[in-house]
Amino acid sequence: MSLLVVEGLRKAFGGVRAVDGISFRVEAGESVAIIGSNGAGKTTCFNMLCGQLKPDAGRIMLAGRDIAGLSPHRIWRRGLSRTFQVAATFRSMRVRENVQLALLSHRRRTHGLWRPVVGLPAAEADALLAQVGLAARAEQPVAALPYADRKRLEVAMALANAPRLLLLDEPTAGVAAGERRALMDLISDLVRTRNIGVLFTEHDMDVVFGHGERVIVLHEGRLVAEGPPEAIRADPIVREIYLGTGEQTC
Amino acid sequence: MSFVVVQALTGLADAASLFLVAVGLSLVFGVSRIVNFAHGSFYMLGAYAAYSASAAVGGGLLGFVAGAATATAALAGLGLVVEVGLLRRLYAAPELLQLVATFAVVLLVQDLALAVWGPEDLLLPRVPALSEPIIVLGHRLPLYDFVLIALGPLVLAGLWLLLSRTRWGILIRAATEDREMVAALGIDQRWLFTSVFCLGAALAGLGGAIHLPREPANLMMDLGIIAEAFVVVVVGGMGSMAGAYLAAVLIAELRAFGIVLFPEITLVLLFAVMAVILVVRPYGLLGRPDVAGPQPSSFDPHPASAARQGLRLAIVAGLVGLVAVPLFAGGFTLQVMSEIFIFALFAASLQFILGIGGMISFGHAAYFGLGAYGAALAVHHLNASMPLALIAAPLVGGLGALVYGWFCVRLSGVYMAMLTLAFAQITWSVAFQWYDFTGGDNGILGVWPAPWAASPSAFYYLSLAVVTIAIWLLRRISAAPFGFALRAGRDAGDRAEALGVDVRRQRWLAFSVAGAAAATGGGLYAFLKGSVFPDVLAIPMSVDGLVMVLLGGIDRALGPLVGAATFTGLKITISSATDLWRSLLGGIIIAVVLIFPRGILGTVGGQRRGGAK
Amino acid sequence: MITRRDALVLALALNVAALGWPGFAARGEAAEPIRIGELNSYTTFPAFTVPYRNGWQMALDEINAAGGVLGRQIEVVSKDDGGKPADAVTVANELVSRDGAVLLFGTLLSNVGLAVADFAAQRKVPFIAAEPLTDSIVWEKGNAYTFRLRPGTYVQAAMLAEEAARLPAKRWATVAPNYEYGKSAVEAFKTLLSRARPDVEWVGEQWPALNKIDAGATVQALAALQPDAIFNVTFGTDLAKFVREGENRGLFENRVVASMLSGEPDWIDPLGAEAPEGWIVTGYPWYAIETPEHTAFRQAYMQRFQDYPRLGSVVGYTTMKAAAQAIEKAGSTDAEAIVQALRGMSMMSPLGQIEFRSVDQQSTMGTFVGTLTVQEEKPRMVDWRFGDGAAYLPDAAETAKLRASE
Ligand SMILES: Nc1ncnc2c1ncn2[C@@H]1O[C@H](COP(=O)(O)OP(=O)(O)O)[C@@H](O)[C@H]1O
Ligand SMILES: [Mg+2]
Repeated sequence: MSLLVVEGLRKAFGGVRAVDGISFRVEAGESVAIIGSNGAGKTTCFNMLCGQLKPDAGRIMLAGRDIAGLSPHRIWRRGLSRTFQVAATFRSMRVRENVQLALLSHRRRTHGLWRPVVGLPAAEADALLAQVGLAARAEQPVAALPYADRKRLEVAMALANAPRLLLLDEPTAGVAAGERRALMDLISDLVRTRNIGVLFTEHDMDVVFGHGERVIVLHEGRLVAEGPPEAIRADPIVREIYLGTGEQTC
Repeated sequence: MSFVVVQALTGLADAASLFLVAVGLSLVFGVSRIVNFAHGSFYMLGAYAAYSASAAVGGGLLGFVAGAATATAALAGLGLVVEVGLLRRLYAAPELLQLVATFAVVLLVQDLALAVWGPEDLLLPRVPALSEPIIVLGHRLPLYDFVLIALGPLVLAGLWLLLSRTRWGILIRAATEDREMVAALGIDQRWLFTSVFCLGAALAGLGGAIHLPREPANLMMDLGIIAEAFVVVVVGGMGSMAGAYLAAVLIAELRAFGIVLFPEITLVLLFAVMAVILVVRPYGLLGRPDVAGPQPSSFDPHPASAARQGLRLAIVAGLVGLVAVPLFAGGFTLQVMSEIFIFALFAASLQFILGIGGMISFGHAAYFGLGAYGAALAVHHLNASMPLALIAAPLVGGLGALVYGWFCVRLSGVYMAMLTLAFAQITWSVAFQWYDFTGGDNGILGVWPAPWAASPSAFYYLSLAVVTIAIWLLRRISAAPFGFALRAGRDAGDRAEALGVDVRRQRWLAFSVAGAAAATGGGLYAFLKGSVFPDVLAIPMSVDGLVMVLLGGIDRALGPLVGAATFTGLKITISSATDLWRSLLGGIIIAVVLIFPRGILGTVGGQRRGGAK
Repeated sequence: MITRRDALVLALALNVAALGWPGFAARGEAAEPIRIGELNSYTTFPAFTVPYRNGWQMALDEINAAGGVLGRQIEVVSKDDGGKPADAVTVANELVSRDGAVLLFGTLLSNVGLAVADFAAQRKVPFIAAEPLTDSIVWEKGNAYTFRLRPGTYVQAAMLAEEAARLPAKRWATVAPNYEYGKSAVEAFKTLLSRARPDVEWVGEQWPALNKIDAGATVQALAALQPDAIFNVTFGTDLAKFVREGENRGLFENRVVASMLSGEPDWIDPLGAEAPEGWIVTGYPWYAIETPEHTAFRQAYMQRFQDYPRLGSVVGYTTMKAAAQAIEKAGSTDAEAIVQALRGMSMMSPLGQIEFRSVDQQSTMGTFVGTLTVQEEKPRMVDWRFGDGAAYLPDAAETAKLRASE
């Protein structure tokens, strides 16, 4: 049984068919890249997978159960975690507190009224921070973090529920070119050791072809090609509509 | 049958003024996202200006027309002053500051109108040409009603032409639909905003002028119309002109027939319809959610951190000091301080949802008032003892917040603010008109403390104890996982949702907790005053709470207490020294908003220490 | 979230709060004036309250010029109650607790009067309600510390009902503000007229919220009932709107209107020549009352204020005089002594001799009933007569029952 099965997924905004009937699968431990020019429908697709948008049609099966239309927090509990295209963290909290909150949520303790957060799963939070290389910054307010570190922090938060499937929306966008590889290597490591399925969107072709085991190409809401990186690189349709534009690769 | 037609026509005529005020409010909101409380004041000033101009010309039809023209022009000018002098500085500020700033204008205008035109109602002498009777199905209607009936659609059509056929109008519509785009086109937004605001003010002025043949110019016109105009704008859909007309007609007809069918609950009817429409269509009849666009930023939050050890000591010392006060203070001082404690709890509960939850409530008085009424009704109808009544207070208020909150937390920003306001107004109108149960505006009397708590010092200790415990609990909740999850929902809602936090539920529960806390204060307040009246539920009470929070500093732990002490202290010392209490309060609000948006503590304390130790 | 400086500022703010209120006047010294607290709706109902203030100020000056009472001057601390019972209770508390008032007087709206009366009973302070018309303030909800000067709704309604009973009209409709005064006036009028004329039929009621009447719609709703006559209780802004829309829509043609207080210059003069002619009203024809006591009062008033007296002026003047006379008679500023003195106290007023009945602490001041007309562009009462309150109030036995029912 595949970890994620998407069938005939659709979403339209007014007249714009942002996602127009796409189907694909992701296996456990597999790393799949979704590419496509801006506006191709990648983020919309992610938003439906994680529950932020209700699909107009289609099925989304996570580990054999349909999650289409569930609310984001329910889907998260089923083991699907994500990061955002623009890193989203809790700016009024410290770095450690961000991860603490994710851990508390995982343990269903966000309704605790009495014990202060300060001492709650702090050690575990620090362990997650150490994994993404932010141990030294645990005490800092998030607002003081450089953007690339906030992306790392988001990964640490996304891992707090020991997810089965991780969605990364442009994980390296806004990260300096030199740091991208390090960030993606980190993610690949984590994924391998935990046997998580990963679905990520990316514009940097080096990253795509370096880290995706399979590549899915979207164009105007449709899935136009799918296959291993070498095949996609060679696909004439893809070359024309995507790589041919050239500008997207930088 | 003929009665129905005539009554419907009267309703249509009544809708004219309401529409003119509401459509301006709606236009201004659409473009600048500002909810302008002072719009009702513009309407009132329009009526006064028209009266004076008409009198100067010598009355009659000519006088009336001259009055209307003068009012329109004068209010456009005043709109310019207010926009350039105040609002222009606030477009980027949190909505809360915008709302209270425009309320400050209301206060200033009240004193201004009183100073210029005096306290007496000014009745425009009858204009015979306008009273000319027209017979409809055997009923007599004045010609002027038909003028008004025609005016609404005419203005609507004129505005429509203006917005769809002129370059200016197209820019306005673009700005309503997509602010970034207009900014990107390199249009000077400031000019656009100013001109819309002037147009809105002019329409309100005209609305006041055309109402003058039917009602004397008086000092109660401003708050009278603004509550209804809000209803119209919210029901019609913020930013929608046609929606404003539709809703104005709906509301006016509702009243015209409401007085026949339910003569004693007309107000309840009005706000209940509003609530139902908002529950079914949260963005109004013709409103669209995407018109809301990105909300202005909320307060820039700071890292949370618990009180340090040394400060705990300071707080304990402070409490000991307060415990000693009755040893040397007189009865009146103790009463005032009890009132301060009660308002501190009210403000702290508001700060809880505002600061940590990022929810704007413009109707927090509802829960304070429900607590007060809960306690008073328990005493009055059930003969409850004072402790029982004080326990009933948070139950009633908490339950109210649970019910209202369920609807309110689905919205955010000004939409949420308007819905909370609507619910507070419903509660107010029920208390006001349900004569048999709540005593209407006779209130509930004889809610005096039990003998053991009757002396000022005993009551002082009681309020100090209850309020200290309640505020301490709120602090505790803020620092607990619940508070963090709430804060997470405020900082980044989607992020929190995608981490398993049910943000809406978190907000809902927080709203209810705050409601129960406010109601606890309300219960004490009922016994402090020995009575309860609908005023505890009214808009000014909600505004007082907001001002206290802002005064103290929205993100300061001691803010509510400082805010309540300063506010109450000022009010009591100054309102007995001068009649200009309202101007002064307005001035304070504007000063806070423009100069000290971080409140007294935020300003005196300077830049607070960072999150890192 | 708490810094040391925050705590410091708080301490400061609380200090200001605790110490900021002076005014615990040392009492008892002979030179100290006697303080009396006064509160009324100066900003909400200036039409009535400004002449009222003139009235009590004139009385106060007369009293102090004559040496005050108990050898001390009287000082009146006067405040605005905002027309709201909640504010009134707060203000009353300030007057008593901070300013050391030994007696309270004033108030206009019935609900405000009731709230202050309740406060007075709790704090054991004598209170003379000047204007509130609801009778429950002296009957159902009466208390030992509350007295009232003006004739209440019962007396006013009784005089109007007496006139109304003589009319052929059978189908009556009512319009009244939806609060204490409106409710009690309609109830009294209905009871009394039905008692005198069992054949009268009550065809409908309108209850606009105070100061919020939808005049056009209300007028049409009344017209649709096709009454022969209308009993009106609206006043102030509501009255102006009601009259104008009623005239516009022909509501008053071929219909009698019996109207509470609409002959009082306070409420009717703002309408000027548009005052509705032919209405049967209670009121105050100051221009035509020629008793010596009234003529003297009118002369003094007009001389001092360059304005004619309204009924409020009479009320303010008489209330102040009553307060002073009560303290003089009590021989001290002790609350119980003042209350004892007021019970059964009789005194002279511009409208003649009055007495505060000991059974219900209501004064026997009367009022005038007549027909409204317009003379020289001004509203005037004609064919009026004076009704003494003593003649219309329920007798002592019946009153005692009303009071006991609380
Ligand atoms: N909330 C929305 N409302 C209207 N249109 C939207 C919305 N979100 C996305 N779209 C449109 O859907 C299409 C796909 O967008 P998106 O999923 O963000 O693309 P990508 O992430 O691939 O760049 C675009 O044409 C975009 O304009
Ligand atoms: Mg995207």
